[in-house]
Amino acid sequence: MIRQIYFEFRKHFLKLPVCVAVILFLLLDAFQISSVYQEKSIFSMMPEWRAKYENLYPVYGGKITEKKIRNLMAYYRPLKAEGNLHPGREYEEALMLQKCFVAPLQYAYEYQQNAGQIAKRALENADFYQQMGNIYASRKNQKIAGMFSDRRISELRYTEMYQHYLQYDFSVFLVLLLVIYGLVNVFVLEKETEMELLLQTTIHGKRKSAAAKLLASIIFVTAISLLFWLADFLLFGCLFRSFDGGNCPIYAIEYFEASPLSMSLFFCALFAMGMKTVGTLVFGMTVLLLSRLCRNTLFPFVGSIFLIGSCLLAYNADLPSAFNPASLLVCRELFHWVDFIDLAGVPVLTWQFCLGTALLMLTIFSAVILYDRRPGPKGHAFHVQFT
Amino acid sequence: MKVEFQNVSKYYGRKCVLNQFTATLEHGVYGLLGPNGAGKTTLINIFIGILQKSSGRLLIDGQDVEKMGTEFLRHIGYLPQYPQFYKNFTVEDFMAYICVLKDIPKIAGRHRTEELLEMVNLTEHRRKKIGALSGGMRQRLGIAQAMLNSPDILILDEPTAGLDPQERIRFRNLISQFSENRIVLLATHIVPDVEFIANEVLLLKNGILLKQARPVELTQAIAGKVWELTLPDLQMTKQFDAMQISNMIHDADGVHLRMVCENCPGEEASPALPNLEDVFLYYCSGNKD
Repeated sequence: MIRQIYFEFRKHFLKLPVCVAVILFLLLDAFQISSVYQEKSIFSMMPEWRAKYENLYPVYGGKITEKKIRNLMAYYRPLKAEGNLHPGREYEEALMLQKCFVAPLQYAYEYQQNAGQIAKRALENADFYQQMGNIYASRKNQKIAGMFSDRRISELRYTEMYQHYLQYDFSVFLVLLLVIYGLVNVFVLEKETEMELLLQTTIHGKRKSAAAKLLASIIFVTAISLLFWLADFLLFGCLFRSFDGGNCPIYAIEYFEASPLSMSLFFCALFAMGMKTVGTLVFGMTVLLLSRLCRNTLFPFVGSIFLIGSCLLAYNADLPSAFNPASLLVCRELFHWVDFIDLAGVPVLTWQFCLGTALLMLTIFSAVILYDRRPGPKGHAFHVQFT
Repeated sequence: MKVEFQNVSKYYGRKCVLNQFTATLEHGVYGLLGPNGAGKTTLINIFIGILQKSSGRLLIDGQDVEKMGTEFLRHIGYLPQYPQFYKNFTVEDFMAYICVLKDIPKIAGRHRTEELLEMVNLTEHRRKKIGALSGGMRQRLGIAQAMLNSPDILILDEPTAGLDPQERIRFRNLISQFSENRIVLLATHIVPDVEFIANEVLLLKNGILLKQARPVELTQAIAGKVWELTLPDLQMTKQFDAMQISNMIHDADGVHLRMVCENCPGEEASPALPNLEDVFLYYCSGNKD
């Protein structure tokens, strides 16, 4: 089976046009990440801040202590006062301190208290809804209370790279294009080259061949996805000149202050890679299914563009996205805030529901691809040439 | 090895494309001959198991093919009508891939590939991409892949279609070479292919088996029904339009006609020795069912 998968992989994906497309898209991706850095990084907009920041980071960064806060404020307040009176170097420095140390430190320092208040209020709500007989709302609030009860940010780290990496989507678009390009031909090629008939007359040319194609396609989609997500991660790290902050919890980034996740930023990045890969796989299997059902390349190609485009448009139009695999591709929204779906009275986090439905779709699509008997004895009635 | 078709029929809705086909095949080359739409490909597709028959039985050495399951596939080698194979594979890659599909162990497959590529004269092209092969080379590769599992039954569907005369002759010789100790079923509407190499001819028309016999028997059967005559000019040939003209040559002496008909077409006509093309014309055009 491994050799069969190898041959299927070679046949469909180890082709010059696919390799060229991957390289071109990686370059395009690098260009786009570079423009994200240019537009969004503090140090790109204020390059002169970097040296100062790098000097102060060992002093005020790392574990947050009362002493560090006192020292920072003792340094910052006079600078700010002076800067307000005589705008100039002091003002610039005070602004840098405000943006890079004071505001993040204040956010981190206050986060524990705010999270505690959310947990407390959620518990009160849970009791209230319990008394009112609204079991679902009560359970939901209990879960929120559990999530927020022990949250704290104990370190001040430079997390700009993670912040922008987790919000970066452009590579998803490129990967989807590659997936369509790579997979649209997988089953159609056999029909267009008349090889389907020959395959059907060999021992491993029927279901095993379909399974090998399916697995080779899964490997291709996963490899392409991971290549791009890892390239994104490395490029962001290199451009922002830091991989620091990986140990901090995801809510150390203000955008994710109400995140349903509590994992570290590094694991969150890995988790996001996984989520996006599952989303890409669902779309990949959709393309593969169309390739399985159609007899020429055009229809699955147009159909794939239409289906995937519709899912992305529906997602952007804020239509319900629990069943839309596009929500996994833009998983920052799922990580952004706590949201539940009522599943027979049980509150399920939206990201869990989306992941579950995506895995279910993957299973169903794979089963249809494997067990579709159209190319078998009955199906051939459609294209036998009567000679 | 013995293959028996017992009353095999195929219907598409009410349309019958194969009607009660009954034949027995043993070692040798069998030419499945018939005009377009006769049911040749349908019969082959039923035989190789990619099309379900509507009724009848198919036996190999007395065993029902349906009960043999995929084991049956070990006995057959198949070359489809217009295979293009995979353009980005080299000849060697393609053979290795077919070895995997046919469940041939790696080492044995490599030896067999070398042997077959040598036989079909493709050894020096083994590293060439299939996309760069000529039509004839591709057909030779096609027969080599069909032979990989050393099948007892070799099924070739229109294998010489689109080949130039030299390649066709080369291909015919290959088929003869491979026919030793096996059944070769060769579907074609190119009569000379069958005439030169077939031990027996199965003549199919409108889904019905008209004849199964050796080529010589078929030609003997229409002895006295093939005529030749020479006419001074082309205008005079019009009187024979209703007849089946198998050949017409125009030269300085006039127009030489060869025709197939039950009775002598004219006083000037002389009887000729029938060939398989005449047989084909006799049975397959008109209403000689």
